[in-house]
Amino acid sequence: MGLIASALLDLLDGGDDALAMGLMGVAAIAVAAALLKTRRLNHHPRTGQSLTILLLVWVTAIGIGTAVYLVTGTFSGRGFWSAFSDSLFESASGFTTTGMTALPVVEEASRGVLAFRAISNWLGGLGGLTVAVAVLPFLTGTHSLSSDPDRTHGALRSIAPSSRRAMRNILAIYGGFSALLVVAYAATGIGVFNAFAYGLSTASTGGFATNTNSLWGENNAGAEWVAIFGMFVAGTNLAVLWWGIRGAANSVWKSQELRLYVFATTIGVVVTSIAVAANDGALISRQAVFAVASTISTTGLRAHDWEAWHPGATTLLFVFMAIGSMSGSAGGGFRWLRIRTLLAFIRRDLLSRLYPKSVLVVKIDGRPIAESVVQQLVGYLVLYAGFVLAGAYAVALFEDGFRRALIAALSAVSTTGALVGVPSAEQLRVGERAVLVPLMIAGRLAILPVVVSAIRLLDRIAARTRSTLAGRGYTETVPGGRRA
Amino acid sequence: MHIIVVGAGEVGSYVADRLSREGHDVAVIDVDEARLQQVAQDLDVLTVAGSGTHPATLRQAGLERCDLVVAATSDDEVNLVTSMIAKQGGVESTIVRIEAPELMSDEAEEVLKASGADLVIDPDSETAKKVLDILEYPGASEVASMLRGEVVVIGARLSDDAPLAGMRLSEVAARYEPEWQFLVGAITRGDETIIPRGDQMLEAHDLLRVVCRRSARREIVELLGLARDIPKRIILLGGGRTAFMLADKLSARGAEVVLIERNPGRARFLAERLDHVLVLQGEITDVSLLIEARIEQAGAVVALTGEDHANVLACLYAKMSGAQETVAVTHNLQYLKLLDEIGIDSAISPRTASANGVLQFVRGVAQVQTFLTGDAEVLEFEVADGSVADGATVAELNLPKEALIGAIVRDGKAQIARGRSSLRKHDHLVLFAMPQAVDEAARLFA
Repeated sequence: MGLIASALLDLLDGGDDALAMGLMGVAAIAVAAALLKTRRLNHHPRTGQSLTILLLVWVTAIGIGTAVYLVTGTFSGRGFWSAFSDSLFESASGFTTTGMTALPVVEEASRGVLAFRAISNWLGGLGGLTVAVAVLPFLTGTHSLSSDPDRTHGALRSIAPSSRRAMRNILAIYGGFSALLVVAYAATGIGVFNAFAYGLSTASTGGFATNTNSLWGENNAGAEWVAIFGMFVAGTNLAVLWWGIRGAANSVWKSQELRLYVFATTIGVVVTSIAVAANDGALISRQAVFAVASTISTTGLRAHDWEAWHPGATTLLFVFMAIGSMSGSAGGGFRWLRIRTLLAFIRRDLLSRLYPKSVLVVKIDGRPIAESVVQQLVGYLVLYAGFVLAGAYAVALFEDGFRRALIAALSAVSTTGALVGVPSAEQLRVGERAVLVPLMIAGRLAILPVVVSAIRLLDRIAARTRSTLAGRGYTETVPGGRRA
Repeated sequence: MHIIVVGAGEVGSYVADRLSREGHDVAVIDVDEARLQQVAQDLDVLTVAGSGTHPATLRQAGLERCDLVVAATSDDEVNLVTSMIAKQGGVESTIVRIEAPELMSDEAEEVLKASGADLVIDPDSETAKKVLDILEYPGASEVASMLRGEVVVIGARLSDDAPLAGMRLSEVAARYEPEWQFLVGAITRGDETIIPRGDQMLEAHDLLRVVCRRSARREIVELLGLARDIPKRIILLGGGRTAFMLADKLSARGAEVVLIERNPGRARFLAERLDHVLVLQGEITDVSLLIEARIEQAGAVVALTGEDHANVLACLYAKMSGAQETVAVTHNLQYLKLLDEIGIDSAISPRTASANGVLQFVRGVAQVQTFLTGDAEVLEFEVADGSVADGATVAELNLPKEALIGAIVRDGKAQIARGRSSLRKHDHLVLFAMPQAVDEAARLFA
C-alpha cells in the first residue's frame, strides 16, 4: 500500500519511478494476499516461533524495500553489487527507523522514492510499537492500552497483538499524531511534500530527511521547533500519551519513567546549552534542545553540527542515544524504564545493607516488580552492551578509529542513525554496512527475537548435522545412554 | 432501651459496659462461654451463649423487645448476618462492626444496605484516626476534634513547669482575658474526675481536658508546658490493619515512616503495598532491630501490636533511647495507670474509639468523646428551637453541677463559652459532663 501511495506521489510529481513502484506495490500485495490465503498462520505459535516470525516480517519488508530501490534505479551507476549494498542499507535503515542514508545527494532522488523512504520509516515505527505492546510487554508499561491487561501479558505467545482494541488504540494515536505533525510542518512553510515526509519520519523516530543536510538544510526555525516537539513526544510511552489524551493528567505524571525522561531531557538541555553558549554565546539554544530531543528519542534528525561542541555535551548525547526513548514508544535504545528499574534495584541493594532486616520490594509506578525481572534486566543489559561492543569491534575492522566504530554501532543498535564524527553513511564500506544492517534489525526488535532466532537456527543446524552424521553410521554418546 | 450486643470481645464487652452503666437493659451474646462468664462477672448484663446468626439465640436474648442490636464480633460476615436477622425480627436499629476495606467500598454498598445496618463501626480505622490526632498534638495524651474541627479537646497532664500549674481557674481567666481562647472542662486528679468551677486550683500532674479553638491550639499546648515539634520520623511497631492505615496516611503527609512486623509474609505484603515506608521484619522487643530502626532518632514511636506487654516494653525502650513521643495501644485498661507512671506519653484503646460511635448513636447526639482515664465525657449538642437554652445566657441555664459548656459554634465561628455568653437556636455546643448529668443537661437543649 505504501508503495502504491509513493507511486501516486511520484506520478503527481511527474517522476519516472511511478510505474516501477506501482507494479512493485501490486506485486507485493498479491504475494501477501496469496500467502495469507494459502498459509494460515498458527494462531498460537510458541514464543520462539513467534519471535522468529517477527524477525522474518522485518527481513521481508527490508527485502521488498531493497527491491524497490533496485528497480527504481535509485543507486545506479556504480554496478549491481554496489547498488544492491546501497539499496539494502537504505531499506534496512528505513524499516528499522534508524534513518542513516546511503544517498549521496538526497534531493536528487525522485519524490516517489523520498515518499517511500518516509513511509518505510513510518511502518517501521508502527512495527516497533506493535512489538512493544504485543511481543515484549515485559516492562513496556503498555498494558493499560488494552482492555484486558492479563491477556496482553500472554501476548508473548502470539505474534498477533492479543487485543484488537490495543492495536486500534495504537493506530489511532500513532496515526493521529503523525497527521498532526504533517499539518504542523506544513504550517511552517517547508512545503506540503516535505511536511509529509518529515511528519512521518518524526512520528516514527525514523529520521529520514528530504535534504542531504537533514532538517538543517531547510533553514527553518519553525520546522525545527515542530521537530523538537514531535521527536520528544514520539519518544514517550504510548500508554502515557493515551492517559494524556483521555485527560488522566494525574496518571501521566505518576509514571516514574516519564519523570525520569523529562528530568534527563532537562539535564541534557542545560548541559548542551552551556556547551553551545560557550561556542556561540547564545543563551537559549534551539540547537541544544534539538540535539537532545533528536538523540533521546533516537530519531537522529540533524539540525546542527554537534561535533564542534564541548565533549561534555556530545558524550552526554551519546549516552542519551544509548538509553534512547521511553518504553512503549516508537523509538529504540535501552529505554528509560529499564534504567529506572535498574536504579530501583541498586537502591534496594544499598538500603538492604543499611537495614539488614528490612523487607524491600522494588516498585515501579506503585506496582511491585518480581525478582525474576532483575535477571531479565541484567541479561538484557549484557545483550545490549554486547551487541554494541561486538558491533563496534566488527565496524572497527573497517574504520579508522574505535570511537567512530563505537558511535556507528551504537547509532545502529539504538536505531538513532545520527552519525556524529563518522563519515556519512554513503561513505561506509560494504563490510561496515554488512555489520550495521543486522545491528539495526536487532536494535529495532529489542534484540531478543534476533538472538532467539539465531539460537533456534543453530539448534536446527546442529540437529541436522547430527542426523546426517547418524545416517553415516556415527553415534553420539549422551549422559545416561547412547543415542543414535 | 433493650440492647443486644453480639460478641463479648474487647469492643463488645466495653460497649456493653458503657451502655449498661447508662441504665440500658443489655444482653450479651457470644459463642465463647468462658468469655461470657467473665462478662457476667464484671458487668451488670444478661449473657446468652450461642451465635448471633441463630434466630433462636437472639430470641433468647430478648429480640422481641429489643430496640438496638450491636453486632461487634471480629467476623464481618457474622455481624452482617446478625444485623439482617435482627432487622427481619423487627428490631428498629442495628450497628455493625466491619473490618474488611472491601466491604466499605462503594461496590459493597448494596451488601451493607441488605444487612439493614444503620451504623457501621470500624475500630481499627477509629484507632488510626486517634493516633493521627495525637501525633498532630505532640505532648497531648488525648485529642478529640469537635464541631467539625472548629474546636479541639486536648487531654494532657500538666507539667511541673507549666505556666498554668499552681493557678486558680479564675486567675487563669483574668490573666488570659480578653483573648481567652480556651477553657478547662474536666480535671482528673488521682482517681477522681471533676467538672471544675472558677475557684478550682490547678496542680502539676493534673490531667486536664481543655477545649480550645483550633487556631489557638499551639498556644494552649505551650501553656500546658507540652510544646514539642510535630514528629517527622515515625516508627510503627506492629503491622496490623491499624498500622497499615497509619503508615499509608503518614507517608502521604510526607513523614518518614518505619514499620516493624513480626510475620515475614505480612511484612512482604506491607512492603508491596505501602509506598515510601521502610518495612523491617522481626520482633518489636528485639533491641537490635529497634537499634537498626534508629529508634533514638524517632520523633514518635507507636506500638500497635495485639500484645500489650510487647507494646509497653518497646515504648519504654524507645523513651529510654531518646524517642520524643511514645504512643501505646493497650487492650487491657488496667495498664493505663502504669503507662502513665512509667512515662509513656499516650495510650489508645481500640475499644473506646468504637464505643464512642455507639454511644453517639444511642443518645442521638452529634458526637460523644469518652476518655480512657476518668468518666467525664465530651458531647456535642444543637440548641433546639424553643428549648430552655434558646435565648438564655450560659449563667442563666442552671446546668447540673457535673456539666459545663465549653464552646459554642454559631454560623461556623467558634467561641469559648463564658457565663455571659448567650445561646440561640441552632447553636452547636461542646458540653463536658459526667455520665449521670448527661440526661439532665440534654433536656435544656432539646
